[in-house]
Amino acid sequence: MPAWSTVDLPPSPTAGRRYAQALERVAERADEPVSIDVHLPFCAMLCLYCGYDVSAPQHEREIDRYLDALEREMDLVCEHLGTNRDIVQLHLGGGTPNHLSDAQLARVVSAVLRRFRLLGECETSIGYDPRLADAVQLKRMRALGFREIALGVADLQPDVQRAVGRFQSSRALHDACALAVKAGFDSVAIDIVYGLPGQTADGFRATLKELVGMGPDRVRCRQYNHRPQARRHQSALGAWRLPSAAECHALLNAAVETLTDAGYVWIGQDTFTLETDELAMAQAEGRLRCNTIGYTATPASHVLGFGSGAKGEVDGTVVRNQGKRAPWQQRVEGGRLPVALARRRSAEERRTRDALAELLCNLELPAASTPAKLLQACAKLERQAGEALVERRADKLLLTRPGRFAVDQLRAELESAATLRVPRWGRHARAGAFAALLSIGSLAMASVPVEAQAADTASAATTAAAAAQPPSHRPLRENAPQDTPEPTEPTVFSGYPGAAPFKTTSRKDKLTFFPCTACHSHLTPDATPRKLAAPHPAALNHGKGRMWCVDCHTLKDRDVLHTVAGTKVDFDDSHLVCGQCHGNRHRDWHFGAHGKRAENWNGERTLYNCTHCHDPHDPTVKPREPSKPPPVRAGLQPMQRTPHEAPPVWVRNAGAPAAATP
Amino acid sequence: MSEPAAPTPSESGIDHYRRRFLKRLGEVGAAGCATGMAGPAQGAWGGSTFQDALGSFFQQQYQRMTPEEIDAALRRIERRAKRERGVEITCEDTRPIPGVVFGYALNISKCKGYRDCVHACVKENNLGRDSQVQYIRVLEMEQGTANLERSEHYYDPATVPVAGKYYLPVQCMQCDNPPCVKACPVKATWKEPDGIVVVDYNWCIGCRYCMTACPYWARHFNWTEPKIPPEELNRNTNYLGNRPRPKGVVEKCHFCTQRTRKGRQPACMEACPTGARIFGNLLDPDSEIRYVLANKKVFRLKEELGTEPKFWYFTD
Repeated sequence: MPAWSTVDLPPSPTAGRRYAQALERVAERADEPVSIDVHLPFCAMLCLYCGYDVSAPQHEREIDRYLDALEREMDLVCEHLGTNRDIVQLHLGGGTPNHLSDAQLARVVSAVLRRFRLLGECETSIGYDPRLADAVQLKRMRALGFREIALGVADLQPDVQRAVGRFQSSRALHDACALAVKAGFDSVAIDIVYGLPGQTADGFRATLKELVGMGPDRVRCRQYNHRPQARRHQSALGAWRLPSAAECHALLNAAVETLTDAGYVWIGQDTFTLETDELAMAQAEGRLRCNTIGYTATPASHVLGFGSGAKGEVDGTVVRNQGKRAPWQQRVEGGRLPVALARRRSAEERRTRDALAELLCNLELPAASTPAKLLQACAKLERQAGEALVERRADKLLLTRPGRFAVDQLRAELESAATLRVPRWGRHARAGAFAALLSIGSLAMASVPVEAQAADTASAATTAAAAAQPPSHRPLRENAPQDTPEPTEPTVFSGYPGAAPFKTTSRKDKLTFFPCTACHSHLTPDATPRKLAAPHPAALNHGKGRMWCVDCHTLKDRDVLHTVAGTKVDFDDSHLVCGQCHGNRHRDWHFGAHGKRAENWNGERTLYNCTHCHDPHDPTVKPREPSKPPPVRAGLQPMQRTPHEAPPVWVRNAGAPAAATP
Repeated sequence: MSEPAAPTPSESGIDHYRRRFLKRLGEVGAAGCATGMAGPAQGAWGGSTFQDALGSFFQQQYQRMTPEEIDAALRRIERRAKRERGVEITCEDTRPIPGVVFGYALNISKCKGYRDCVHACVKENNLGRDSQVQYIRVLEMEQGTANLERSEHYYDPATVPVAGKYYLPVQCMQCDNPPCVKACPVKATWKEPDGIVVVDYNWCIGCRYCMTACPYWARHFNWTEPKIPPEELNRNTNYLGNRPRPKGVVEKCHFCTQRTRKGRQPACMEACPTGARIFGNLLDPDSEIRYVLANKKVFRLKEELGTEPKFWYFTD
């Protein structure tokens, strides 16, 4: 649920204290159950639209270290909350839980069970990457007690898959669904994303039709939230290719039409379930609720988030953990609650928010409990949109169909006055906001609303309420700062743990024009993308047009390359530059499963650099003439290949008459 | 395989060979008497000395030879190459490295069917240029199928890879439970301590039982004397490896014992332009092959036969 902004802010020093106070207040009311959301930010591969701080792939030891910290965090929370609290909802997500080994998953579950009491009717769900589907693992997950499985799918259209770097066939997804059902899961959900580059309403309909054919119990359409400055990898999606707000609306509309035609019930804003599903029945009976995990029929008043980037809400206090894994881990290991933000909502704010949530979940609200602010916000948006979002009756308020599409705007409108808003994104703007926050003073930081709203909304890019108001996108190049600022803390890559040491073959002595400064010291640096003359390559066929020379080459020192963080890299170590995007390959190369080793199979390792086989300006390996086929000895005919169309040999021979016996 | 192009018994006859043998024995006996059984016997024994001919005739199976006998056999091989091909070669008896068992892994998503490995292997291992003996077969397979019967071995398009095809190089799998070894009636082939299945070409009688026993078509029979241009002959040879072979024996891939037992890569791996081939010590937990086996999706050909191949295929 895009309940509030998910920006990475500097942690508030008082946030931990606020969270602890909220937990202690709840500790006095022992009969109130909680929901638990555990984030496991590990994936085999990073998808470009991912909104979490997932750095893929991860070494086993890193995951174990994370789990150590996760248990420590649970201990820290339980110090304030007390143990053996009932839980009614448990969700594992925030990455790819099935990237963890069975033992690690069991460890997570047992860590929860040691500190909390799982009720019999608890809703247990787990995120799943269908590309790694494994029948045995699914059975083990079911045995761990998970009832719902959420298969992550971005889109099934090849164009969109290529754009977001997540490839999966519908066939494999179909198999994964079947395996999940076979493993005994009560509910199979499919999570899709709309608002991705290249998505069209027609393509989206086709995807949804394929999904319907697989018969999932639930389909969730989440909107893509573009925050390239917070999640650097998202910048590779190409902001100018993202659909506009109107197109996003059309995509969601396509989903609503396709899925309701197929017999699914539209729940809340973006979820669709079978008619027999618990959520559909809860909506019909008016007892559906939603929290930061999602829609639920068994609501708990408190949500505890564990893991980096997890969100929670405890006794009206909205809590968000550190979004980045490293600082989160550091804080937990230091024995502090790893909270970046904890803001207690005022009574009125809570009332308004609860009213909106109820209106969204059950599509109606008793007139008596309708806050005035909600009505005002509706009236304001209705004036802008020119259509009725709610239907006002004497005794109740009904949410109309256009209103369901506009819930995010409504929520943003309500929160705009109270939420911390950050001005227009960009390095300088963020630095400015950071400085402003520091000057306000740490105590007041989280409670004082900062009205640093950008004056010109048309030019404002992703704001805190990005989910509500998709920005009018502009090409990245235009937004990019003119000169790359010097990084303050360059991160140094120190190899993969466990990989044997190696040296690389030299690149510099194979470059005809090296050192580059021989010419470039006489030229003025010019970062403008343009067609270059010889001896430079005529075209840069790398990164699908997203890259330009100075993304790898250093503008002001042509004899070295540089990483995204700005660390200078020698031409002989160019794999450090390649490895930033091609992480899987880079790791395999380190361990010897990709690329070539020179000379020997044991002893000192010399590896050919990436650039030995791949032209960095056109890295795809081109088709080539094969060497000669095997010779045929004089007097013989080559062995005849059985044509593919022919039936197998045992079928062919079956019809032949048996050899005559003498 | 097809019919041999050798003379049939009716054309030449067993008697022919027997007569020739007795005739030559008589010649040598006479010559030996004349020269005190020491001087070179020109013309007799295909130009060999009496000592060499006698030494070859009474040579034991490799595993039963003393170090001195092995050394004598190696020198005979070198002299013979000099005499017959006019090439100075060095033949060694490279022993297995203790604590090493070799394994091979091949990335079929990287293999593009260039066949560079095949030709590097032919050069390195002194395979006959015209005898149709090639240790590696690169099979062109239809994508989405794994039917070896329907693979194409003689593909020759303008460029590879062809869309819709993938390439599966097959060579000796150096099985841990090798059926060919069980089939040999004279114990001319066996598994070495480093896992390589080798052939003693002098002990092989050419019965070809091992070829029928092998499920991977990895063994090849020399129907003719392997013809190699002298200047292309690889001069670094190994007794249980790439030394020049006579006609009428079975040979097979031996993971380039002459190279790998000295720490070098097999010729096919060195030649592979795509880096699809991974070779290493299975007993070393930090080796590259062990990383592949632990972290990649690997499979072996005809695993259900229980031959325990030490050759894995994997995909990215």
